[in-house]
Amino acid sequence: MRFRFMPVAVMGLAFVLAGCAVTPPQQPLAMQPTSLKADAGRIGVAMSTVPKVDTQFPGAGCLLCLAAASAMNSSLTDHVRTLPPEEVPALKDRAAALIKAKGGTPVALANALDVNALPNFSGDAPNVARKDFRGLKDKHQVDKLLMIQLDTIGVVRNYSAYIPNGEPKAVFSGTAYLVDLKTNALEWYHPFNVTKAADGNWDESPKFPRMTNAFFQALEQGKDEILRPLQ
Amino acid sequence: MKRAGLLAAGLLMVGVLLPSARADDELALRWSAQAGAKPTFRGVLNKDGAGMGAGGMLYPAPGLVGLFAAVLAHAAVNSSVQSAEMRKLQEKADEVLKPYSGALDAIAVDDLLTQTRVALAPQGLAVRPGWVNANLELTPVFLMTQDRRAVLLDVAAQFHDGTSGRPRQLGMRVVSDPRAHPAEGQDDWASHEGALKKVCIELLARAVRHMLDSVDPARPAPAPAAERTVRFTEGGALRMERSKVLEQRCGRALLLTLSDTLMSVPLSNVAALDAECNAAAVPAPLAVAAE
Repeated sequence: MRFRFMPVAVMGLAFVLAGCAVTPPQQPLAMQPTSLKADAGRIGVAMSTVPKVDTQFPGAGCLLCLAAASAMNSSLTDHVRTLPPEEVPALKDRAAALIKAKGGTPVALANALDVNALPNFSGDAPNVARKDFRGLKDKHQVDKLLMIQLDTIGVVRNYSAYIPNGEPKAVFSGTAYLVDLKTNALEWYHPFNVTKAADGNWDESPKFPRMTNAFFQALEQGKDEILRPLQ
Repeated sequence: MKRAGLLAAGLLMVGVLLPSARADDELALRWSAQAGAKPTFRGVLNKDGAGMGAGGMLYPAPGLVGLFAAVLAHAAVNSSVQSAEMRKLQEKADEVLKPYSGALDAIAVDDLLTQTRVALAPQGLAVRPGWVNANLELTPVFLMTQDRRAVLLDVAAQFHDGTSGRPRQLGMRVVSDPRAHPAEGQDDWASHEGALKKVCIELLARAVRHMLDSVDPARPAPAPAAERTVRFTEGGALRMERSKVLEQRCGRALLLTLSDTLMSVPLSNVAALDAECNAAAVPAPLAVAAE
């Protein structure tokens, strides 16, 4: 009688633990010297939509906290929204030019690629893309895909409810990776998260010159993160 | 015989004092009271990783007044934690100066100013047309990079041309040319008396020259330049500054930053070296960095 509920309990525990299991994050993969050469075939170069340059206040969780954080930083937000994501939209073409300089055959895909719209890839083998990119092989007549996924461009200020946890920082983050479209295997995986603080006092409304400088520093450093491995 | 001796001693004294004496047609170079009796040196601080991550906070306070008090207490605690963190970061950054404490102690303000005047001679401090009893008061801070390959000078200055009532506020940063990485136990900035002082004098002289040029009414305004992100070397590291390039020659650039202050930096790109600057004119450490 005592053991009647044991299988149910074990099954329940297994169910809970399975629910808690998280796929480990993809670790960075270095670019192989031969990955972009002529015999690599046609290499598609795609980029996500360039995110809107804006401010974010993570940690200001409740609605009132977010309203307070937004109000407290409204002048900064107004300014940040005027900053251009200079040369970021041209990253795809610059990447294609670098592949060509290495002897490869780049094909820049005309439109922005929404990776979230792709189907999931079944299987949990290491160093394989979580989304199924294989359908792009025939669609674009390419053998590999160099994807530049941009996540955040702008300024982030961490909060703890109503109170800022520090100065705002300029941020440029995303991931660049190369997928073999035959196997969906990753041949390069390079997440980047460039964070730059203002050199000196950041709070100089309305033009925030030091914060603006940090923003362009982050952009420049982020562009290097993406393009340097292709050189 | 005694008279001749006195005369000779008098002439000798005049000869010794002459280099530091200021001619009437020279601008007065002063050290501000705020700058302190000794030159200020610090380690270059990187704040990119400073600050706490995002996080939630529950305020177990009854009523609106209680909530308000809890938020205020939270703000006070957060502020003191952040101040303490910045102090700790600066203390850690300043540790880079430890091997140079002897050399830094030997640098006296008067000597620094005198040597800067000498470095600027013969025309650097000449009074420009339109100036009457002009003076420039400096509040400098010297910073050393963490790799010990470069010194930066941040200088705030007040320029008084003697004609207008209010002094003009100026600001400039000068980054020294990077030196080769010092070998263990062979760091001439620490071991050779005057080596670090020489770098400081060069930086001060460069800053004074550029700041005076910027307020010279007879000097033509610089050609309008587009704003761009300029890459330069700060010790062994690559740095960037959003700015307008006012002048570019011999591997260095004079920038106008977004804060409307001047910045003189060694460029990171060897292609930036002008054809007119022959290799001999380029300081050896810069040539190494540019390779």
